[in-house]
Amino acid sequence: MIKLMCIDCGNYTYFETDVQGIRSVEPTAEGMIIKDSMIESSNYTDETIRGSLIDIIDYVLKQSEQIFQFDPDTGKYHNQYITCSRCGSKVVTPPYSEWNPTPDFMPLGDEILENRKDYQQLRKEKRDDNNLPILWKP
Amino acid sequence: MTITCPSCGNHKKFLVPLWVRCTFRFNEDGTISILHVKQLESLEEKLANQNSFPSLNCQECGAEAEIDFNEFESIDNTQREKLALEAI
Repeated sequence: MIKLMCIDCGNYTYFETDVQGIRSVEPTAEGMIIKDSMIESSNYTDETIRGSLIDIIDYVLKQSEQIFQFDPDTGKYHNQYITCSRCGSKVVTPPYSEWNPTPDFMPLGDEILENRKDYQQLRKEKRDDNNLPILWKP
Repeated sequence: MTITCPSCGNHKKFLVPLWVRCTFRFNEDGTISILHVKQLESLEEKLANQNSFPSLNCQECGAEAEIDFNEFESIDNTQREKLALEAI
């Protein structure tokens, strides 16, 4: 299922976003050691990056209308958080709209007439006791 | 340069948040794979701005850390000479 799509190049697989990761700093006599933060044998740096990435993607997919900002230079709406990794475009959006227009209903009389055969079949099935085909007879 | 936590006295382990650019891929099964992570901020700048925009925190208690870029600044001349002689 396609979740996001670049309107400029059609890419729906590779994207980029900026997230915050927590790293560990250990001062020593020679200088500082910067490394991944380990808390109780789990890599906290990896967890923060992965968690922030999932959070931002969920937010973009959920708030699909609020994440766009109009850019007067290009005349397009830009995604504030996610960019296309192929062409660098910021015009990245879910490939469908959640807005569903109300269907044009036909007059009730016409609808009943159109479905008359279905209804007659239903009545027949209800009236007849056993109208199932006999598959096996001893 | 020394880094200390004014709250618990820790001077060994600290945490710093750093912005990274994450390149990712949507897999066919709906999961997400991370392809590349590029660091966007320099730690030197973060440390230099620690007094105005604190970002370095103690790993033990979470308090804002204090950085002393020149610990010898506060030592007067007599003490400095004494330390120099001791070093020799």
